[in-house]
Amino acid sequence: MSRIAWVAVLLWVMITPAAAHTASNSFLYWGEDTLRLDISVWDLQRLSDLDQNADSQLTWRELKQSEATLARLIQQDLVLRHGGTACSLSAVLVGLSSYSEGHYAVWQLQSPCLAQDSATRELHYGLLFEIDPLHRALYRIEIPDAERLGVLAPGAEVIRGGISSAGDIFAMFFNEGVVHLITGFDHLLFLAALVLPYLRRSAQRDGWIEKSDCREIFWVVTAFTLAHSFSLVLATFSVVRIPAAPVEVAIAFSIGFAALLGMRGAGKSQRYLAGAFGLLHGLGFASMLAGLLASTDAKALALVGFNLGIELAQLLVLLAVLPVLLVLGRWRGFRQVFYPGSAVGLMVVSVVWGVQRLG
Amino acid sequence: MAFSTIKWWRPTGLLFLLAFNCGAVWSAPAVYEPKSFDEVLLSLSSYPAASAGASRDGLRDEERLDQAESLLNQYRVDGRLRWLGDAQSLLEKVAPLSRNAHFYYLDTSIKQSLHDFESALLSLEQGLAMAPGRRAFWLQKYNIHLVRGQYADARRACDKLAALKRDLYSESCDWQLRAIEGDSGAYFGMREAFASSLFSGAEGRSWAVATLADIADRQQPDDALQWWSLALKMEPGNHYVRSRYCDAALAGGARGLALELTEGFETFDSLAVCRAIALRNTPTHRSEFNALREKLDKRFAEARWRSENLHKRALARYQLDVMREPQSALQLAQWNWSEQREWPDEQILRRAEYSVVNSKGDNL
Repeated sequence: MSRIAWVAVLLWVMITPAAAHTASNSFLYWGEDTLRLDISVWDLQRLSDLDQNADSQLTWRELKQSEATLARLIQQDLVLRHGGTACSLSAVLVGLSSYSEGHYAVWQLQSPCLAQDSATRELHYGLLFEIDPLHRALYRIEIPDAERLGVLAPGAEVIRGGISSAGDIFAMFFNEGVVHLITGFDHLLFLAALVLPYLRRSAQRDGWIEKSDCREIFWVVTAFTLAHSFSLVLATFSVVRIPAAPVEVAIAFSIGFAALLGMRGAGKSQRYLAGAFGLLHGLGFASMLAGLLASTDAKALALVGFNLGIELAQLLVLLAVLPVLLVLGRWRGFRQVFYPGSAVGLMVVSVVWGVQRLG
Repeated sequence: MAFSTIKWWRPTGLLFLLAFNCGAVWSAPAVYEPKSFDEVLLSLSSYPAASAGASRDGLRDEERLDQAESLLNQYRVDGRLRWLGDAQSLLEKVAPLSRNAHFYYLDTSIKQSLHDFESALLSLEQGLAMAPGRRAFWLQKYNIHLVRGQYADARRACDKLAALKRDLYSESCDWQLRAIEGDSGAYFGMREAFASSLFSGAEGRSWAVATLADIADRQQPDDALQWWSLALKMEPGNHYVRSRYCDAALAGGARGLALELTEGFETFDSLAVCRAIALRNTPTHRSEFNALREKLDKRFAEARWRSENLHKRALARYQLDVMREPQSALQLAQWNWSEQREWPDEQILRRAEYSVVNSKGDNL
């Protein structure tokens, strides 16, 4: 069959939902002191070849005979923690259950930690994600006052048992926002590329930073904050939908662009750049948040928590770093060595990340 | 990359599904043990050798691409998204330097299948940059733009397809676009193009006859049934054609034919929904209808729990024609329309709008 004919045949299936069929789902039911995992027999076959007599028929006997092997695989990829400490976990095959797709194997997961306070428990689920990025674990928390449904996916692999109140959800997402800003260096480096030119200008004057430059830095940070908050909200609620890959590439190159512009001097352009590229950075935050949102239904609250976490972390980093840079600005080498070195470094990092992300 | 158009129903659709999710009560199903150890749980006859479970260690990139292609072929046969996941994980392991035009075919195909059209187009562009003369890429591009209702872009891709070679594929896209643009002669033009290919052994005849059936649905509904029938005879394994044929049968009041076409195909959403509609209107099949409705309820509930996006059209039809819930059908149809604009998408949207207006009238 020629390539175009192959594509033509496949197009009927790809474009339309005629064949949209049940995907790979497992189901987790988390009670106060119980944890049950239902996995499709199809997926167990993907984890390990169960057809021991190679007759292309998978029987209950063959499944039972493979119980130890499968239990080991489950125990490897499911980690239960209590108060931050990993707990021992064993999996026992107790029977079958029926879902829309057919037979599922039911595993009762046993651990001494299941008798502990549910609020401090968390489960890390990594089964099948490596071999099938489209696999999802659909979970139901059945703990009184904390009942909820959720979805685990690659990048959002943790269920926390005690997340029940609005305060808990807010705190969790606030924390995620802080962590993401601090560990997501591209956002901080972009801000640095925008702010450093004002410090160089002060250094050129051989004095402390002037009030007008402080005001400009304030406007740069504000423009960046407003812009990324705006696009974060729009992207989270699917008002705008842009694939993560090109956004990540653009974010990487935004750092180099800002550094290059900074070489020309400080002015109002940094403020506009912060606003324009801030929109892109917001889309980057949104793609990170999208994975986390699968674990909660309270999306608006989660979004507010996440965004405030980002803003607070950004403010704290600025408050911590700016005084150091101000002092550095008094050093004679700031203008000749530190600033050009930083700008070139930012451009190199930008290009390297951009090319990596293009790959 | 342009921002997609802001549509009021996107957030509404999201909220609708969230409301479903929040309200869904999904208890753990009962646990049972099979009566016998020899009870067969799964037939592996159609299990692809390339799927996970088989060893993938030490594969060369070329082998990864071949395996991904065979998984996509299996997906075409049985519609299981698992094989797409397997194929995607294989592609993720292909080194950047080995990402050739074949890689981008497969990557585009997977993304398209997941209705991630923006990413599919990006991947397609990378493939086209490597092999601008590959007509398969242009056909893919045409199809993505057509389904999304971006007809100017679809026209450009179709023209490029024709510029590279005039054949049934380029004729088909040309007449299909003309039909959409309102050219009343499109049906006859396409019929003539197809007829003149009959004795030439030209490639793409099954594609052309399905296009002809699609145009007939729009312009000559009385003829549509015979073209869908022919399309299915030419490709009995094409579930899309089967599904459109079933829709045409229902539209023509041929419930018996719809039941015949869908028997044994209930695992495919659109075919199962088509069967459920036919059964609903056949009083003698009440118990089968109830059993199928229960299965579909379960399947759609799982899809909503998963926040699955691929089921919107089938679900809208289910809500409208099986559950008789025009309001929720309309929300789903509008949401579906914002992403996908095939003829059946337009039909379900129109019918849902009509039902909502009428049901409001009934309530006055």
